[in-house]
Amino acid sequence: MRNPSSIFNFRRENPLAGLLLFAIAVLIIETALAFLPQNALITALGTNRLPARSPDWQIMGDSVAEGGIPAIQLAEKLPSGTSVANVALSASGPEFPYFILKREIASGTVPKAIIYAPSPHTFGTKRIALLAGAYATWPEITEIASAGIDPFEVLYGVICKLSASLRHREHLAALMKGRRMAPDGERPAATESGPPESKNNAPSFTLDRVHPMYRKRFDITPFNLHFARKFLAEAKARDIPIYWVVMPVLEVIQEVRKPYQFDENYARFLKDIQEQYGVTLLIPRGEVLPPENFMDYAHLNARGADLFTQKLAEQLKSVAPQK
Amino acid sequence: MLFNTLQFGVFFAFVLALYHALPHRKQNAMLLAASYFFYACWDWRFVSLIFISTTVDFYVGAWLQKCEDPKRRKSILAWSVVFNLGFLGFFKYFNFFSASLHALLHKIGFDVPTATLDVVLPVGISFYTFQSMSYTVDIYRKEMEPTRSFWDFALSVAFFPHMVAGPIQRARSLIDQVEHPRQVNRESIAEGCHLILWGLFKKMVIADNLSLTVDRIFGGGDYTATNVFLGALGFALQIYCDFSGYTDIARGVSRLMGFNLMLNFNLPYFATNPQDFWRRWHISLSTWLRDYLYFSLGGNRKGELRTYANLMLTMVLGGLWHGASWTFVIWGFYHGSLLCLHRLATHYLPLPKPSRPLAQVLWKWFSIGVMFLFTLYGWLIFRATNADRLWDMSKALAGLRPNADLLRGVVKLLFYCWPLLIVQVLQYRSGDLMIFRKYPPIVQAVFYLICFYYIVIFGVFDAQSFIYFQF
Repeated sequence: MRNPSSIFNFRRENPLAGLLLFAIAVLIIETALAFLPQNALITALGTNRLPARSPDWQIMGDSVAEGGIPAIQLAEKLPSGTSVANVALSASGPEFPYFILKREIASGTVPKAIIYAPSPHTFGTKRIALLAGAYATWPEITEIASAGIDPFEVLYGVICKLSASLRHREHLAALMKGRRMAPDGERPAATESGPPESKNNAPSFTLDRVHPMYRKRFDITPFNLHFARKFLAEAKARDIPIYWVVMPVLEVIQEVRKPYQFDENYARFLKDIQEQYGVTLLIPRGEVLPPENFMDYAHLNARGADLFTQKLAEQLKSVAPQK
Repeated sequence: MLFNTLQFGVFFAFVLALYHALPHRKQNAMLLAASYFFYACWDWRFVSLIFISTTVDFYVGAWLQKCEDPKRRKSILAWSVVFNLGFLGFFKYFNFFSASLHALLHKIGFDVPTATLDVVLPVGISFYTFQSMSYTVDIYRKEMEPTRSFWDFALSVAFFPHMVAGPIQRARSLIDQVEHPRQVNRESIAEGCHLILWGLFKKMVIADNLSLTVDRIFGGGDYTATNVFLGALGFALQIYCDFSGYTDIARGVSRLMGFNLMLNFNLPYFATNPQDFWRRWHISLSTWLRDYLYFSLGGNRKGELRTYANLMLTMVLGGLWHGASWTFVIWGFYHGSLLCLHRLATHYLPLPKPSRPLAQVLWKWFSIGVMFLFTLYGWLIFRATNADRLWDMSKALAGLRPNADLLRGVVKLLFYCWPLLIVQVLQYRSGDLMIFRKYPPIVQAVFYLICFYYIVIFGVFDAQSFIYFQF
């Protein structure tokens, strides 16, 4: 006998019934997924890592600065009593510091000076959806949207903010393919052992394994430029000195960039920035460090970070007014 | 503006909202403006090209209607055809023929400078030119009356869902729909949404993911039998999902506005012979070529030999329609040969049909398998970038033996394709392409959920252009 309450009878006469059920199911799934723990990248971006009080020095940038300039080590190398905070964010880019600074202004923890150490290749890549979808608050999204640059990227970011499955898509894909995926933004811990590929202390960073993102001209997206300028202007308006640090790279990276005149173009960009915003340019260890100081093609290992921080501290002591 | 982008989503939502708020004549005006805007998003300079082509064919149509003298009518039509094909030839084939002539002269000892033009191929020119031409030819053949409204005709040519990659609508069918108020009901909404979701799944999940594997295999120089076979198989699935995905979205978008675009694909890989394949693959082009080229050449009315020659010429020109490259000519020739051989075999080697039901089923699936292998080799020709590569790949393919790598490769391809396989088998068995719309709502919802979450999780989001846009 036919069961009158069976779900199979659900408004069968309505051609839209299947679509309606589908829409309801999506809403339920998305709501349920929203209660799952966030992945490491979104957690890292969403965690309020602003210092509790205004630091003397604040390190900003992406993962290269996050691991390459440890706050505690830098504080130890500066005159005693100097406070240093590292608010660099993995997977971020030049569009993020403006929002970090704005949050600090709002919370009254504005740093006295900023050490800004961005990776130059991040200027040419888009992270608008990540910024809008995983980092920004709704008022910040309004500000991002009002800039009027790449509105569809912003819209995609907003959709990601609303959809848990979109935010986790890479992890879900790995899960369904039966692969284990390291959480985004999580790098191997800095070790003393040098490059992971090396055997018998023979570093094996090779040209052919360099990521394609390094095989490009230095470029700045309009969105990144807009918010990088806003960050610099905001800092200048509040008399916060900015020390723009050029992080060391592997020789092999410099080699790869050479045909694209990457370094020349980046230097030209930095010159403009210096002139317009009065930032101080620091290149503490030349532009190249030997391979044994890197854990991968971009990030310093513990030994490299220590060496670099030492040099940075010396330069800061010589160029910055004593705190 | 590609169908698989947020830009298109926002554009279409805006158009749809306006469409349903306006009365019929204003709907048409708005759709025409939206279609020109849609095209201008690629390259605004070529909007004028569509407008010129539309204007010429509209007035040629009106002229043909007034003129009674057969000779004069013929010359008017010839003028229109030369104009349309001249446009197409200039933008699409000038450099190809110039370079080919240069190479030929060079081989026989004459070195003349190559005349090449730095021209950009306007998106969809092959589609809207054919569509526009069908209007004048149908009026010439007195199969239709010309439309009185220039703007209705302009909309039928430029209607954005089909303008850049078809289906190549028959002028009469679309003009009728433009001229009369359209009906949108729950059924058309449900069907439209179904087609859009299914089309996006085919494009973003299957075609765009397989393109990575296919590009790697065809782009590399190290050809083994296994990877050439997997490349051809991957490309067969990629091009089908890419183009039929586009068509499904175009048809779905049209359905939401009450338009009906013609079916372009009817389970082509279930074809049992070459003739059957061309009744199922890119139906709007194959029927266009049949009606306007093959029949114009005389079809099968001028003797056996002419029939084969007409068949071959139609297919070679059909191959060349896809692009200015010798591999497309070879592809057309290959399919022409298959059609001729099949025709010959049907006439002179009639095979006894199996009588038992099981034998009939086995024979059918055997035919499908054999035809699929022939189709695969056709795709190898189509995708190979030049004749040397095609030769290398063909040589490699000759050594194909079943092995574990081959099996692993096929399983890997199936990871994205299994919903397609299930759906197509159900469609084939039921003989109904909309079979899922007839299942209980709960089954439909599960099907939509699978498609949706496959798109969300595995879809390629950095919108890749549709393959047929380049044609």
